[in-house]
Amino acid sequence: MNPYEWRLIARLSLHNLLNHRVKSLIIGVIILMGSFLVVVGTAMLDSIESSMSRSIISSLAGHLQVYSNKGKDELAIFGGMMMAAEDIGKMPDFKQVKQTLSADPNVKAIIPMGIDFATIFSGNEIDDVLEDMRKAAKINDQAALTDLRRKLMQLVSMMRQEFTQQLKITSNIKKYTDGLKELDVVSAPEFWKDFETNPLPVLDHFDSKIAGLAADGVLYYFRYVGTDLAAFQENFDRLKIVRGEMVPKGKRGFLFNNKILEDYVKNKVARDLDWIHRKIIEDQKPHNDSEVRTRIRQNMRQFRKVTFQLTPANAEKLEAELDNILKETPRAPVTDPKDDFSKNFAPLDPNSRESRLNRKLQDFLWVDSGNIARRYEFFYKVVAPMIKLYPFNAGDTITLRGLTKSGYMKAVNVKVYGVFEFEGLGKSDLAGGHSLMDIMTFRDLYGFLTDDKKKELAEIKSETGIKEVNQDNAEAELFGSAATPIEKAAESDGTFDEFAGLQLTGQKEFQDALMARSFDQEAVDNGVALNAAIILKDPGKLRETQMRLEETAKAAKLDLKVVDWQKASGIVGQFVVLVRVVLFIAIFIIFAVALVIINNSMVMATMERVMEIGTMRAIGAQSRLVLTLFLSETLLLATISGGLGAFLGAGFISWLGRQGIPAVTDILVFLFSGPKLFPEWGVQNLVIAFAMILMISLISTFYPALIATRIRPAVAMSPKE
Amino acid sequence: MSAPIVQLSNVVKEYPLGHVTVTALDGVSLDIDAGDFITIAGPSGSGKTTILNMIGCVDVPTRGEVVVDGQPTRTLSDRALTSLRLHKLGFIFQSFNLIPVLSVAQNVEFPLLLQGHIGAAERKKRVAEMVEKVGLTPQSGQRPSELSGGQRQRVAIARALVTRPRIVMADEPTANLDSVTGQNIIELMRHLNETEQTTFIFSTHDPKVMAHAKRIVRIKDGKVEDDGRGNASNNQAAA
Ligand SMILES: Nc1ncnc2c1ncn2[C@@H]1O[C@H](COP(=O)(O)OP(=O)(O)OP(=O)(O)O)[C@@H](O)[C@H]1O
Ligand SMILES: [Mg+2]
Repeated sequence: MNPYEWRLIARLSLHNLLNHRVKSLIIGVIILMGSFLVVVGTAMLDSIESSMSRSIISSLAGHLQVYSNKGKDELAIFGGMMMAAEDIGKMPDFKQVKQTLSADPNVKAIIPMGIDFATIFSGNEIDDVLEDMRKAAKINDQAALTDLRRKLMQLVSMMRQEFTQQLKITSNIKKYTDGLKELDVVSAPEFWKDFETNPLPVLDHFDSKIAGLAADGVLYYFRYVGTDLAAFQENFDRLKIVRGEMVPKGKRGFLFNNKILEDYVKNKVARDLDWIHRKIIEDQKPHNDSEVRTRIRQNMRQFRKVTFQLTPANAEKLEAELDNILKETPRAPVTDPKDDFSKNFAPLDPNSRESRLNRKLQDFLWVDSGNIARRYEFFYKVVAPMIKLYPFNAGDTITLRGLTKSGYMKAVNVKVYGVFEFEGLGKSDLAGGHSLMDIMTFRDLYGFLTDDKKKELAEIKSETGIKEVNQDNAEAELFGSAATPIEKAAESDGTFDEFAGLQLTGQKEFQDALMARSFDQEAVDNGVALNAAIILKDPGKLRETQMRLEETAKAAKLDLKVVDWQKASGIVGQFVVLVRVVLFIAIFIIFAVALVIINNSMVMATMERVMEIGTMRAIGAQSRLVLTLFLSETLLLATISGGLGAFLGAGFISWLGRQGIPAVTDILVFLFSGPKLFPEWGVQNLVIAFAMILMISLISTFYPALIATRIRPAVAMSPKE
Repeated sequence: MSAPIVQLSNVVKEYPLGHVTVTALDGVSLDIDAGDFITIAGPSGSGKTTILNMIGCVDVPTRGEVVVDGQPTRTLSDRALTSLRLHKLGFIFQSFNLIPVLSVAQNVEFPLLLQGHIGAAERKKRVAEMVEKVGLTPQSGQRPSELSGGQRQRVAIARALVTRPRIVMADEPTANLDSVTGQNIIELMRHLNETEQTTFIFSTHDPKVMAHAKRIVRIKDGKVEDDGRGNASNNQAAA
């Protein structure tokens, strides 16, 4: 083709586009929408993927994860299909792994990890009060002791009422008569006569005789990551301490996940109030929405979860405060009988202060859309400080229980230093579930100790004066004779249970001594890890680094698997892949439809232009000119409308990027890695759109263009037949 | 006299039509001299258009040979035939066949652009001259749809002649025009035949149009009845 022919083609295509307006408009609009969709869709996905990858990578996964290739299951950091822990094998010598893989030029850091489940038992009300009294006794705070003693006696009197009640209905008469006898003992004034001077024997008595009578506490089951916390904090910038502090370097310690505390552990009244508040204020649900109504009614009934915890002084104070807030925030008159919760009120005895407070608190918890905001604020300002909002707080020591890898129960005490969240993932159920602790505690809990560690523990034991006793007895004493599978430590290869053979009385001192010890980096590295996160210097070279590391590990006979963050994160990481597939299927369908429509209208247009094309051929146009003309007409149209669509798409994304797309569900919070997604577009989105448009227009024009080139010049000679 | 510019020898054209074969030309032999102004006449269905298709190289004969300007066309490829049409032939159609989206000047310029080697200044000059010759200078910016039938056919004539072809083919150029306009068109063609030394071959039913021809070839049922030189197709020897 010569330049003049090109010029002719340009002239003809342009004129034809302008003159065949309907055809141009139909095809143009389809291509415009298609390219708009491709740009918006792929840009959204890219943005979601990059924000998700950012939060996955910088919360737990790192760029790559390395773990043993001997395990039965695949690593799923954020959980796989089952709620149980996966068996991913172990890396017996993390130090060797770290040394071998750190040599790679693109590796910035390798952080050891151990992910598993553990349980924590939160004590009952009596346990809590006793613990507070011990603290007060330590600093000799008489005022607090007096107040707490009254609270304790209130609990005793409640238990007495309940036991008397139970006696009437139970078959287990002995349990409750014995219990009542014990309660009588502690209710007698002579039991308390030396309390002011020497409170500890009294508290011990309560611990051993009374606490066990009270209702059970709650067992929490949750996922944790044991890791090199210092390295973790350095490399995972999503980690944010929301209360308390970071575990100091070289110390054993535990960090609670805020999401878990808020959603599962927090005081139930507070949790339900949070929920009602969120539904009404954020989700704009009315208070007579059936779900909300049920929750309000339920919250009214559980008022005791607050009143149980009040000291008499606080109860008095709260009653006065409630009088005010009830006056200030009246409910709207009830019109629908379904909204009348007054039958949920406990019976009122005007002469009993307790009964009056109960009624007022219930009245307070009976919220509606009009007063929820102010009552919510009141709850956190006035009520929350009087109660224990969370059973575990920074500064507490908790007992973690877990199954060692050989299957027997272990318990480790560890200090809670604070509460954290992964920024962005904070609100998401899918990925917000891990708590953090140091790797030494993990190894203890999981049952992996090195010889050095064993020796160290032996030293601590002798320093704290713990004597070995019969191992089977110790297990039974420590964990009760529950049906926990008990194995002899000596028989289980590689495992060592520092509790096996410890006397119960020495236990606390031993644990305290253990927690007080510091450990160095050598101790952190020198031991077992289940998996390790690898942070890269240049994440752009993830694939090649992954391959190189696999080679390196193979050469060093390390039996390791190296996977990328997406694979390592479990089903969560596959989500984007899934969404991408869905989007591409959608785009494919739209384009298939577009293809048919464009093809049809092109064929029709070609039929109408048979005479014109025949004439061109007759007066000397080669068939390739006709072909080029057809292709260029479509390409011109596609470029203009596709370009416009892509431009609008990019503009739309930019606009969304400024506004932010709110994540209205928890899944979206996770996908968006935060409360809002601020999407961005990149050249690659335009390139994809352009490539698709090109493909579609070429394919859809191919057949009509072929027809056109087959038009013979002779048709020009014979007028319409 | 020099060799004829068009030679048809024993041209047979058959069209398959369902199960039967229609013989449109049945052994036509004909010589046409350069500079002639010749009409092919005959009743409807006699094969006029088919003869012009053969001469104009827009179709190929089933049998026989067509030689155009000394070039035998039998073995030529589609590309070569197209090129031959572009450089040696001009076409005027019964229904004008202008490109509707192009202006008068652009329509006339069309084949010059196809030829590829003529610069912008030269193109402009030749288009202007040609438009002038057909008397459409004031309309040169207009679209075909804005013109009358006669004006459109003038554009077609300009387009056919702008490349200075050896032969101009015109299949019933006046059939879609009223008789006065038809007369004018034929007169214009005749004038150009004189001034440009271009061979014109056209077909017509119309005796008034026929009257302008220098030579009349009469055909009937695909055979030459009278070649205008007193010969019938069957007894004419190849020159
Ligand atoms: N493409 C074709 N397919 C089949 N038969 C055809 C075709 N073109 C022409 N014919 C037949 O060939 C014969 C000659 O047709 P042609 O068009 O050459 O006649 P004509 O003299 O030009 O007629 P008219 O005056 O009606 O234009 C006719 O019988 C016609 O039906
Ligand atoms: Mg005809």
